[in-house]
Amino acid sequence: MSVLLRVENLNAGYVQKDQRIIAARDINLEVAQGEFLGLAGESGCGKTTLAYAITGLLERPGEVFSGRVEFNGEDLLSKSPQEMRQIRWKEMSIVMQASMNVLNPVMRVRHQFYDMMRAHLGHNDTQHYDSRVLEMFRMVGIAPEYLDAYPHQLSGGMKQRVVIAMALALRPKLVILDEPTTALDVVIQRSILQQIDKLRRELGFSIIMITHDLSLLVEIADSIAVMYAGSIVERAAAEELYNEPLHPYTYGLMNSFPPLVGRRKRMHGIPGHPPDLSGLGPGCSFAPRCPRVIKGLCEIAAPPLEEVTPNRYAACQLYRDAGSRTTG
Amino acid sequence: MRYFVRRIGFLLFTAWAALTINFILPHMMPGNPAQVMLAKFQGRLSPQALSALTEAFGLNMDKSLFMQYIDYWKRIFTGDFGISLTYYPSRVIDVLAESVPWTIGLVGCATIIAFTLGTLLGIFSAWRRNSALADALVPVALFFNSIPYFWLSLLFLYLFAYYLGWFPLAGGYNIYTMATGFALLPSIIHHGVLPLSTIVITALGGWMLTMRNNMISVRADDYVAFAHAKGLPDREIKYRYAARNAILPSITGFSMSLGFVIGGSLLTEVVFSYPGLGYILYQAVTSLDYPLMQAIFLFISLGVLIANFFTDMIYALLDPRVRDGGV
Amino acid sequence: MRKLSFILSNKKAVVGGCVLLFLVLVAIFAPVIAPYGPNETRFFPSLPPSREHLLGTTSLGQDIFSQVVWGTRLTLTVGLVTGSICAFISTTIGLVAGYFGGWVDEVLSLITNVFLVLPGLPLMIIIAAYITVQSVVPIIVVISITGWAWGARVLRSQMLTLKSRDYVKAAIVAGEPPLRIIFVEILPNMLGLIVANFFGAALYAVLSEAGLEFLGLGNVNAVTWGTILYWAQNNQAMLLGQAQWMVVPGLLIAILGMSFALLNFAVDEMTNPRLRR
Repeated sequence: MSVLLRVENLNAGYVQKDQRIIAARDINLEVAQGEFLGLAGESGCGKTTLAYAITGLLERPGEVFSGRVEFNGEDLLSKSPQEMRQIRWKEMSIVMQASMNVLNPVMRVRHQFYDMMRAHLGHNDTQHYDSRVLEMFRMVGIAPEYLDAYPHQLSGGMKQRVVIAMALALRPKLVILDEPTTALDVVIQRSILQQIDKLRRELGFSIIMITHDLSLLVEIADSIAVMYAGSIVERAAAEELYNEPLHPYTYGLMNSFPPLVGRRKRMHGIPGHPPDLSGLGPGCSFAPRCPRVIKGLCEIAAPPLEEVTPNRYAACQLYRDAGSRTTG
Repeated sequence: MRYFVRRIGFLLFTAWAALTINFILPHMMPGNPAQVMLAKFQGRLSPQALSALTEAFGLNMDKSLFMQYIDYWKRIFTGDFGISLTYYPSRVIDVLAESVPWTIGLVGCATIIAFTLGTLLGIFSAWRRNSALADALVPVALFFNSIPYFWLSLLFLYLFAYYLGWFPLAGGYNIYTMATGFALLPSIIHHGVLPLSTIVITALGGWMLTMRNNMISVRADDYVAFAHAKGLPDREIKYRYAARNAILPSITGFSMSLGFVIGGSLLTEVVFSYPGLGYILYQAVTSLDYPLMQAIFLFISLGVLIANFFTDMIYALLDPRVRDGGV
Repeated sequence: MRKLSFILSNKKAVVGGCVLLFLVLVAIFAPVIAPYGPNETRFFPSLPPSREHLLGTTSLGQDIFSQVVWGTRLTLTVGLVTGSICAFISTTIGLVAGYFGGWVDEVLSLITNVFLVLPGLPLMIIIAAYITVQSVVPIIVVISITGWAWGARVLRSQMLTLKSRDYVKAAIVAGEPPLRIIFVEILPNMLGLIVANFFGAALYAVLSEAGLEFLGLGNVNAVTWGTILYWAQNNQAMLLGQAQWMVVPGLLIAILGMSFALLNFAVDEMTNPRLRR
């Protein structure tokens, strides 16, 4: 499968009083065509900043400091806002956090679709729009009569489906889902995600799904990247990550929820809190909370993300051989 | 529908309250206004006129308060507000009929212009926030918003009418012309420019600041961020998403401050001797013409209340949530 | 200290505060600043500005500069006192209505809305015409009656928001008495809004006072900026070439009003996180 999105050494964050606060640090990612990548981490770990950096939505005081985002063979960071506007939604769409409130409260759903389509399709053929919207409605399971509803007339789950229909309407190559279902109850959450996954298989688009819920990801994602304090600490195929988490943080996250199958065991969670991004030391940012911390090493040197076994990456001193330890 | 019924109910209730306040006021005041008035006009009016006046003013001491209140309502529904003392022997209702259109025209035009202009400036100032020009608009608006209406009127009157002679010194139209109907229009406009611009200038800033703050709030709302993510053109986001929502609280503010604008306009009318309600009210107040005063307050209140009702209806047109009986 | 530097970092607050402070000082030290008494009529009438009479003299031979300085006292008093009264009424009504809800809210909101839509200035004019105004007290009362409703409405809706916060719910569950919750738990979180509301009401009061006095409905013998304008207008100041008699007090009203407006706006900006930056 060919690579659709490649993120290289991306640094993005916020400028506060002339000080750079890096919320996403040295990010390297690849998403293949049709792949479902899960991005997991606690809130405030930089997931959303990363998503906004990729889609060109980071606004002042947010900023991309360095790195490269290659999408469909094109360098996105060198594009003008105008060009990004065209790419956004036609080529890649994003379902944002708090999607309960992303629909304009004073506009009928129909016209919110029209606005988006008019901006990207360059014509004003409402009949064509309608047939496309109704097709999307059918796909996400909404009755056609809701086309003329106002957002407040829809339930939370329906709003979410409308937003997803909107995200898929122009057949983008990549859909980014940022905590898409946190406001919904578990049953609806699951049914919506399964539907999206089914559509992905049918239509062949790629997904990056951002969530704090690792258990959800191991179930449906192809591969998973785990973020902690702005950096990716582990990357692996979902199944492998589930079977054998390498990074102690991933391990901790896995133990924060009960296993879906098999014997119930004691849950641990991770003691302590994620660090403040503005005051990171030189060492591994997880070291203060890490149960397997190597005293005298982890606090001093931050390990880079390295291939531990084929296609498995982790940023942890535990998996570094003696040679690279001294040079790194 | 429920909203509509509620608003109608509120309109009727406030109208009742305003009319009742209007009735009670003279009774609550120290001394007896009727007596003061009678003393003042003794000898100038015929005895019939005087007794009609007492009756009309509802200060006939032989009747119980409640009966007077009933009479008061009867007179309102028959449009019988008595005889004006200032414009004796004109009936109050006729004096009003002549001045009401002037005020509606002046205040109506000024409010619409000020609201539109202020709102547009507010949109601009919020959208271009942190640019020098947009930010400079804020203190300027605050200043104009703090100028006393009548003082600006006076300055304009002396500068543009007296000193430069560009505009007439007083009145609503040229009273020496033979023209009638539409032929009067140029003269009316010529007389209206100065009073209108003072009201617009002093009222503009308030609308601008309200809209600016609303816009800034709305800009941070999720649907604006999402519209941006959807790749909509900036212009479309600005007007169809941000401004379209930001104007809703402005409209609520509009109905609330209407009373204030009218108050200011009354003073402007006084300065320009503009033949509207404000000028007449001033005449009535200085010559203790209580029947006329009472009727003017009644008309202004009703005018504001009705204007408010229409604003509420416009609000409902613009906000589907209100129509459905929500927020 | 941090709060102070936070306030000082807002230019509008600093400018508004300085102007207000300056005028307060002028009011306090009026006897020192003003060269003559406000009602001394011993000068030659209608003098143009000069070294002896910075702003000239009135048609009655009073020193205009001294009048303006003395006038600061009453004008400021009316603004500040009325602002306080309005803020007090609107805080009480808004908080009580918002906190208790139900029929209490229905009744109080209805009253508030009625006062909101009743045209204030015409009502004041009528009331002022009935009573013979001998001091500024009736003016304060009349403006207060019509000026509190706006703030009450704003504070009520803020109360509704705060009431749903966890710490308030916790206090309710813990069985704290309502008045304690309102004034100890919630009120401190609304101070910004109340202060903003106070300045808004003070602005309204100053403008209304000027309007009433200009119409001759105040006590025309008291010395305020409004009555100075009244006499200036009645003596055709502008036509007689005494423009400063008219311009200065009006400009001062606008400047005082602007300092209130700046403070109102600044407090709003500081307490509403969305307006910051």
